[in-house]
Amino acid sequence: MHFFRDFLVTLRISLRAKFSWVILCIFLACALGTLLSAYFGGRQPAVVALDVGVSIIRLLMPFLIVMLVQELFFNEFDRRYYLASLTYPRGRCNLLLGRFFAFLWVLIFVLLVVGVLQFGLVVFIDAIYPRSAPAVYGHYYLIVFSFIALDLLVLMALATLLAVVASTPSFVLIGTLGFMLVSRSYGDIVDLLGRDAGLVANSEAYRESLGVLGYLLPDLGALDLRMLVLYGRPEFLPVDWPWLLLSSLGYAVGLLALAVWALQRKRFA
Amino acid sequence: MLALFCFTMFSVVSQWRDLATAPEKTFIEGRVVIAAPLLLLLFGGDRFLAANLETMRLAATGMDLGQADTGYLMRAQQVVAELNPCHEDNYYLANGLLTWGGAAREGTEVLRRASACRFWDELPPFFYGFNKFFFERDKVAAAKYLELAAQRATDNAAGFRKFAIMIQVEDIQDERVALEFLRNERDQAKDPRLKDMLAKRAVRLEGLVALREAQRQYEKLQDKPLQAPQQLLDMGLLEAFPEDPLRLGYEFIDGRFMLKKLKVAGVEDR
Repeated sequence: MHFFRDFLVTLRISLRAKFSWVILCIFLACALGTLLSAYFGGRQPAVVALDVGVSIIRLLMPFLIVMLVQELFFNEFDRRYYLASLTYPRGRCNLLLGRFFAFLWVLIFVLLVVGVLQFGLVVFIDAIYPRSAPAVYGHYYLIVFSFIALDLLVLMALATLLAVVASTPSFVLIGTLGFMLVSRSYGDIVDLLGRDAGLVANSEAYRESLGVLGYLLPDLGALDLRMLVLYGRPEFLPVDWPWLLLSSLGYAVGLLALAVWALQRKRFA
Repeated sequence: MLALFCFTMFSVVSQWRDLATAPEKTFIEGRVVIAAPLLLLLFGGDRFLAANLETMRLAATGMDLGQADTGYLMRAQQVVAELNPCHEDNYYLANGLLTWGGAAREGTEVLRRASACRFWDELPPFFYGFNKFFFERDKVAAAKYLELAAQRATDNAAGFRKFAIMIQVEDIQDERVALEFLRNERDQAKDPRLKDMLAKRAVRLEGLVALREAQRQYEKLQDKPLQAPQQLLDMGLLEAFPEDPLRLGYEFIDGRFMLKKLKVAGVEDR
């Protein structure tokens, strides 16, 4: 009951924030990116198209997340909407979690639509220049997108925490995007520094200090399993994927718990 | 007023400085290639996006007026190979532009990474093996990678294995030992297509053995070197020149019978 009302409220807020235009722009960007990059793939246009399409989704969705979290959570405190929304006989925690899960469903829906759109486009491109092995594989596609959804869940939780805690609006944007950049890249950078030892003078020390980040940030780069769907080989699924799932989910839930706790403690002037 | 004056003074002074100082242009040797970790960061932590866009960029800008900028490409394509070794366009371009453009070692390095990453693909180990044989004359490594390619291949397995065997046969100086080896391989081959191919080459080598044997007999009888192959027919040592099932034939160069090799323009036997 509460959930349905939350869902409607979330939708109304999002629509007021020109959410539908943003979604359309994201669809357009994905479609254009997928189609046009296929022209530049010499021997593998469908694979390049799918690859670039997935990259665009992974880069644009955090912007959508930040925009909506800004509308749903940050503006509550910035524009003092809490004077109305917190007067209802619902705990603060329920307000936060209700909106969060409603937003999560919206995000999953958007991801689904853009996934189907991309699937269609890649199949179309594959038909133009068929190779011996087709680029897209049904259940692998679902797996890859679920891991992308998990990645976005962690970012959503962080954005919510920042929205509750922050006092300036741009902090949500910068914090979320910075977190995304660091946690997606540090795993691969540690790897590359290990192999390309000539880049920095003391690569071992660099690797160790970057390795410390592994205790603080989730390895979102490891959630990028797109090789599964690009080449269709089950060997690309990492053997420790349950641990990956568990650690990322744990991190997201932890961040959400922190957000709830921060909200409970928040004093409104 | 003060702001206007200060900005005017700044522009005047900087223009004067520009004109007054002698232009010591420091030329950067070669284009800058950004290292892989930094490139990863610049592309938002997405190594696949980095690899894709870099390959597109290199394919478009790596060539200047029809000439490949090999010095730049060989560093830049190594970077792409570090980011996503499985990238098909990268290894294909590297083989085409680098290996055959004078940078064989760097091109082969990209192929080695692709061969390791793309464990289902027969082309990278085949290209790698061929390059090892052709450019570095490393027949052991060539045979190893050709066998790897044959294991991964669907249609081409027999062809790759035949190539690996023929590389080893060429190495053997004595044609009779080579023929023994080839016959052995033919008998051990299980693939019917491979057997067929090796049988043809065994017949060709038998022809060479016959020609050289006839030459030896001629030289023992006449006590002088053979001038032309026709003399063997005239003396009756051979009834007819042996038929080559591959239709390539034999040639007589510098007093020695040899298998006629396909001549490719610009690529001579070294």
